[in-house]
Amino acid sequence: MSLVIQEVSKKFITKHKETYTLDNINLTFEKGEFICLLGTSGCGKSTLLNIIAGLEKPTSGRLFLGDKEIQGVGVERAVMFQQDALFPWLNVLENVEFGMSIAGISKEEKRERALKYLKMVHLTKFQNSYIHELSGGMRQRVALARALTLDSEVLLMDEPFAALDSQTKTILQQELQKIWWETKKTIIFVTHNVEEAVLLADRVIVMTANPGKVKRDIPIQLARPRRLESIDLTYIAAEVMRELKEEVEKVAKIEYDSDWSIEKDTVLYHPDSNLGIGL
Amino acid sequence: MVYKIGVDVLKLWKPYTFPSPFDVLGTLVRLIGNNTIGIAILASMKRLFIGYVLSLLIGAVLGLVIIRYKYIDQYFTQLILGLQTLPSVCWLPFAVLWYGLNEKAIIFVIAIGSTFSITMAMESSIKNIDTIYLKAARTMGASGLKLYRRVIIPAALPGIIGGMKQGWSFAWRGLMAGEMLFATKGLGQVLMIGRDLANISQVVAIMIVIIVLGLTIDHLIFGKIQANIRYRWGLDK
Ligand SMILES: Nc1ncnc2c1ncn2[C@@H]1O[C@H](COP(=O)(O)OP(=O)(O)OP(=O)(O)O)[C@@H](O)[C@H]1O
Ligand SMILES: [Mg+2]
Repeated sequence: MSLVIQEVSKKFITKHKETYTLDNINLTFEKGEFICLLGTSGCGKSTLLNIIAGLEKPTSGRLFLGDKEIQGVGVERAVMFQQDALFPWLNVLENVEFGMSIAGISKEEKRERALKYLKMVHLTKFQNSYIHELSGGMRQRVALARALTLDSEVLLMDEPFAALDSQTKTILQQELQKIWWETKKTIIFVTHNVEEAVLLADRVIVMTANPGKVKRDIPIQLARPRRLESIDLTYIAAEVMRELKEEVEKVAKIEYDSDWSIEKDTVLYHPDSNLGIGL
Repeated sequence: MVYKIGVDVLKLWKPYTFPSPFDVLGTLVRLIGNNTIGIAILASMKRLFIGYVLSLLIGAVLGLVIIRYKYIDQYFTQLILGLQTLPSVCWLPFAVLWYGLNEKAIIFVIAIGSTFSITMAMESSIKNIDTIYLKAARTMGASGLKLYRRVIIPAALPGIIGGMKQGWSFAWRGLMAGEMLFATKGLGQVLMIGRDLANISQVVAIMIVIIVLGLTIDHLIFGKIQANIRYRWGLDK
């Protein structure tokens, strides 16, 4: 079942001002695709993800998962947030079981499935720990296990690794690729990190700000498993980076003083300087 | 020692206005011996328990109603905040008018003293729940009653327990106020007998009993629960 976003716009109206956050977004994601939403801060990535999750209503436009219109939250769309959002009053195992408890799944099956997913994220040893006893990386792994348990077709992830150190991040990115491979879910992954997007995605959607629009839809046709160090990846990342740089500059001009400009040579991996590698 | 110096040397106070520790101890032993204290504690605790449980129920329901119907919130919360600051003794005339000089009136005063603390704690701690918990729970299919039972109440629990503890201390005060006026049994009544007989040792002895009881319950019950919850929730870091 594909996910269709049709002419979605979003305005936030607050006391002080009106923010035009999303402007006429049209996108179609195929089943099993790994999509990265990439864009500068404030361009409406989280807002779009929340609308897909059903946590936020679009001002206009419609969304469909298969032939069903999306109206409100639904367990077929699991969400992973930037903060772990785990429940401190439950231990690790109970947290992973939460969604299944709500669905009324039997105790034995709950336990079995929870342990299966905890194993997938290598945390069975910590099943009886409380959340505050875990590190940030471990918490995000629990959150990932929890998001997987409901067998939802779509997994929505809002910068889930942004707060982690780079080693932990790399490990989790590898784990996520493997899990995506095994579960064949549609994953929509928000990030503002170009390398992360190119590493993970089949398609990178580059968004622009003020108002949020889709600027480019870039297919990433690199073989998997991918590694951050690979030259092909770096090459493509540089291309995407150029797309984004224009955008950053545009935003910077609006947000900062008008004489602000990013030096032309801050893109480290300029494709022309790669001496033909990756052609 | 301090006492002796105070009375004999410095003549700071008279023996009949402030009793010697030995007299207090003697009175305490006598009151325990003839079971006055036992009966009084039992009677007081029974009232306190009934009044407190009532206040938990009413306070919780009131809190949930305020949360549920937001438009009540604006005016009602202010009112309850005001009522909470009203010492429970002030309710005594009301209680007597409604129920007469009896058990019910005392229980009313106990309950009314702690109800509003519990309502306010309920209201504010639910309002202040991190919305990320609610969002996460909703995306996992929780809604309505399940959302309340599995997420909202547990998330608010540290705050609610705080309110319960505060409510308990208000209930104690209400109990004393009620008993000192017209109880036939109970700690407050024994205290008043001490006053009527000008037996200051008895007054102090009962005061000590009240302090010890209050501290014990506070520590053993609320302290344990609170420590447990704070640990679990990871709030002590
Ligand atoms: N609830 C809200 N009320 C008012 N404005 C909002 C609200 N949520 C988001 N916005 C506005 O919408 C814009 C986009 O916000 P959003 O959180 O979607 O950005 P983002 O792309 O996720 O940024 P970041 O990378 O920093 O997380 C911002 O300008 C923000 O001020
Ligand atoms: Mg965001």
